[in-house]
Amino acid sequence: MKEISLYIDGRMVKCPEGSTILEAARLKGIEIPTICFHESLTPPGLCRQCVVEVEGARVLLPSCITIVREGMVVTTDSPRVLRARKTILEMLSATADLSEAPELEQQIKAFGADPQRFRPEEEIKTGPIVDNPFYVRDYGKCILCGKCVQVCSEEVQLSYALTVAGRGFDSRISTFYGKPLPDTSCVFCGNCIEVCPTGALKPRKEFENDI
Amino acid sequence: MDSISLKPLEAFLESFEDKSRTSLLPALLKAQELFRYIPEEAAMLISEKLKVPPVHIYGVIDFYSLLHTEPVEQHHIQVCVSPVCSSRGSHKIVEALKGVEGDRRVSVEAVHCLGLCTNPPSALVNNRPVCRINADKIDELIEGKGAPPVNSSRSSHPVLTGRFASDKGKSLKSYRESGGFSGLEKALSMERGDVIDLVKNSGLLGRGGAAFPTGLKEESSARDGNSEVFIICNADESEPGTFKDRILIQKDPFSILEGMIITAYAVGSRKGYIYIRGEYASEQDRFSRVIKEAEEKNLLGEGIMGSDLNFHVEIRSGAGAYICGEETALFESIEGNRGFPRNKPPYPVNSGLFGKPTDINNVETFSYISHILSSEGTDSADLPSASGTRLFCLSGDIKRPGLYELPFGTPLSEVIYQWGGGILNEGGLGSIILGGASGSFVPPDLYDIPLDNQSLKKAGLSMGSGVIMVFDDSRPFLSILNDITSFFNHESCGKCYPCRMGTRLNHEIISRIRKEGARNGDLEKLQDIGMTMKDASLCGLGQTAATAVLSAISLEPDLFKAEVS
Repeated sequence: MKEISLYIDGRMVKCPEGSTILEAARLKGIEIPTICFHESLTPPGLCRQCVVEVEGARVLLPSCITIVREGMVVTTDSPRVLRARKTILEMLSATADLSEAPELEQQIKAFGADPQRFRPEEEIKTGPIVDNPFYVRDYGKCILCGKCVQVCSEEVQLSYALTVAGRGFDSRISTFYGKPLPDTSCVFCGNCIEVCPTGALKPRKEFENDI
Repeated sequence: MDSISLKPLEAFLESFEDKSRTSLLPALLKAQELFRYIPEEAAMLISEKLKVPPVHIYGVIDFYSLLHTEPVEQHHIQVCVSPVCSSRGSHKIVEALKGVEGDRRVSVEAVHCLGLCTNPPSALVNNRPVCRINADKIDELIEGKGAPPVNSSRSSHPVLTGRFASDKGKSLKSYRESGGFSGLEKALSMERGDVIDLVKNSGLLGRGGAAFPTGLKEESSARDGNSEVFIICNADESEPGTFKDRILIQKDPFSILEGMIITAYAVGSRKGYIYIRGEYASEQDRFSRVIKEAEEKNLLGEGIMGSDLNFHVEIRSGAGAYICGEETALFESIEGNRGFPRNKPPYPVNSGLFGKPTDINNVETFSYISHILSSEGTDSADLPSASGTRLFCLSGDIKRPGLYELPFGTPLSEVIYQWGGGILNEGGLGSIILGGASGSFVPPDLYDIPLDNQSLKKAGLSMGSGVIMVFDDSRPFLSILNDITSFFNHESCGKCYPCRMGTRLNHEIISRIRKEGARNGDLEKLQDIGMTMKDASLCGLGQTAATAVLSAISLEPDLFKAEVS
């Protein structure tokens, strides 16, 4: 396979043709944070936390899906990049309960984000949905990374019990017409629980032990 | 719940040639029309016939504003609340309609721009446009009474609007008598590559907003004629303040179709779509009659005009989602999905609709292509700029709002004062927005700027879809911004983080500042959110959704700073 040489943060990196910037950076141990990325799923490129500055590009590019080119010059920690990452984390903190998302809490610390900055004066609390013997769904913790929908659909289980519903800020994960899980095509395979990064989806036992 | 009969829906589903997911949106729109919402049973029937998982159907219904999971009243009024209509009191009308009780109860929806900006405020009463509506005449509005839309237009160099005054675009007969389809005839006599070169050399840039070279797009999407290539006309006109495409469809629709057929020949396409926004019901009717007439006269179909060109055009209706004007979201919508934009690359010319090469252009762009090919077009040497004329949508507090076709390079102030007659009621000029809700406030020292892409780009501005919204000095900046941020809050698709959260927080902050004044840190918050959206959003909507706010900050920073006590 052809080898590509590029520069990431001033360091020359050699990687196989067809690699993403994220893969190339990881070869050299250069850390780029991600949220919606999952090793075994198709990267949806929607959280934009892994954006980097590429010389010649008008906007920042998501490193998880941007393929390397010969001679590419990439910066992973420019002021534009850092501003975007910090702001994304601050906005997420204002719109979801991240108390069970250790990786995000770590990023918040690393980027010096202020979780209180955009928090609304009156917080809207949504209670957990307990409609079956196995899972608890607590969408107050959901960050809409979409991994649960991915594993429930084409990418793993083919159950098609979950979808992103609504639009814009009011988007949410839902079943068919918002029905309780036992009334849907859910087979309780547990894949969605496995990939949820924020504790929005949890096995029931663990949840009950919590209370 | 009363039991419903699924029979008419079933018959409709049987009529589809293609019983697959691409027929989902037409099926859902039909169900909405039949039942005034989409009952679960209807969704299940559609699922079974089109082989789409039920949960995906729910996700699609819940995405589009014109589709509902609960019944809506028979009598349905959509009132425009985008900046121009809002400044003329449309919010009051929404409130008044909501207060109507008893038999006269209507379902009311505040919507953002119906392309009826020249006689504000405007509404659709059961899909029929009604203009100059008034909160004091609610009963008349409910009955659908009011002024009809006036589609006034003027031009110094009529090309696109050349058939408007004499109404020569009315029928296929009058269209042909005024030189229509001579462009296609000429194209068919040329080599395909030469047609592309002609469009390339014309310097035509896309008129939807991004101003990408049209000929280059044609060249990159062209294939040998043996593999599939799609042509799409983007008529999802929804940028607040834009009404040019609606008027073009009404006044010269055959020129749009001709442009599509010429392009089909050039790139080797056999199938085209025109995606018209769901709120443009009468434009959809108009264009479907145009297609029918063209098919009858062998201008569409097999062996067009005796050549070996085979080309068919299908109309697709939007279902209430601004984002579907973004090209890849539009593909998703035709494919039967939520209107989520795709990450690029791949670009549409390589992998667009159904993963095939696709040449997608705006309505005005296709119409212009017909004039480039036609021998009847204005000689470009007569124009001050080689790239010709374009349509400007002038609205707001202006004496003569309307559609103006003017050469590129016409100074902004000339459009407003000479063509538009200046500010209404002898008021003072307050602010100008160029490019629609995703455009900018123009700094006062640039009011004389020539409206051409290079000058605007240099000044950090863009004319987008040709929108010029003018406000007098009684319209507070923050009210206009409130309408704009409310629009984006409603229309962000919610796929990527910067736009999903940024549009909501922007609106929350602006509406709070408007009510209570700014607090410490507001300006920095708006800048961080705005720059993150601009730099990191997935699509063009998200990247420009904060442009107006950022431009307002640079013009009037004090508005966003806490008062020093």
